[in-house]
Amino acid sequence: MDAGAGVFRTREGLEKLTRQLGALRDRFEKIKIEDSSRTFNTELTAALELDFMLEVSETIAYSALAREESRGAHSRRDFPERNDAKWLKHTLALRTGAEPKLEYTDVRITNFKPQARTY
Amino acid sequence: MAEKRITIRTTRFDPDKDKAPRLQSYDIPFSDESMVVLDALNHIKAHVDGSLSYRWSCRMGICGSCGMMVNGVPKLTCNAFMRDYWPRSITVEPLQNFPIVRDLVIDMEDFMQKLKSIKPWIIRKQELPLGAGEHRQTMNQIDEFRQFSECINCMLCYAACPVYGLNNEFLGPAATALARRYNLDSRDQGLKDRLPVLANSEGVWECSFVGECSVVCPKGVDPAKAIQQTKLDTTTRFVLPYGNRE
Repeated sequence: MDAGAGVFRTREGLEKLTRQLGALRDRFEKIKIEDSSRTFNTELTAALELDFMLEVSETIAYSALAREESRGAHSRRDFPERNDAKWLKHTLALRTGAEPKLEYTDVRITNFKPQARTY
Repeated sequence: MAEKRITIRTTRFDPDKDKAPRLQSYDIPFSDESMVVLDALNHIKAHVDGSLSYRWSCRMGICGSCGMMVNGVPKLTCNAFMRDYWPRSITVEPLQNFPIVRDLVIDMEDFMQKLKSIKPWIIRKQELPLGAGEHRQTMNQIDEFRQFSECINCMLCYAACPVYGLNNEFLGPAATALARRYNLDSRDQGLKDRLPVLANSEGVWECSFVGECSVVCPKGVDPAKAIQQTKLDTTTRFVLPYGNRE
């Protein structure tokens, strides 16, 4: 995640990341837990949290891959400018059972207009 | 050169299955001189036996989660270097004087209650109005209580205290150090509110100044000093009688 979806992102890096996450997801489906206790079972909590972390990572990777612009912390080396005309919208990542399905909603602007950060 | 190995013996106990705790041995590689006992536990859980349960978090001696008995001494396992024990085996047991929940995990509830009982917050006779601004405090005033604010609630002092071992009602080192942290804070006016708990029959006067609490403290809080200084507070104020021991 650090390498593929870190501070500076590229299409190649993000695509490689989605493949790596897919491989991790396949491995995760096969894990077995040794600890069958109902009391303070940290192996179980670790497995549950790994599931959540994989899911969150997938939403980050696919959303970042789709967003072909730079905006705030999302900095694409291959698309260094902000593109309000095409990308002034929120990404929704929906769980499907395979890769997340991306949809978009409008941004509601009140006090702060999008503008260049020049500090 | 042959790979170095070391034996780790740890307590195992599953309340759903076991009648009593038992010790289980693991033989693991000791590959790096910087390894600590927590690394050994993580190696066992990751590669040998996933069912071993224990608490840990920061792995750098600041969160207080990984307190356990290491060869009979209360230590943070992230702070216990395996090179100091090798080639002898290392026995890891749950923190002494607390009820065992599972393997190396103990019940912290009594400790949490003791901390709350001494009212660990700034107590004012009258709250300043908002317009008056913040309570001002110089560096010298902060230095007065700084040492006692360094406590990470790791409970090693309670494991080391023979009085707490014999009498679970005893207020104990960390709770008293925390009380002293507030009693010495120039912003606080709550000493009288804390004295009923500090001065009662299970308070500071149960302490016989063994001093082991300060010996095992990983952060240099010196709770023994806090307790002896608080004993003075209880005498100069004549608020409460000391109470009778049974």
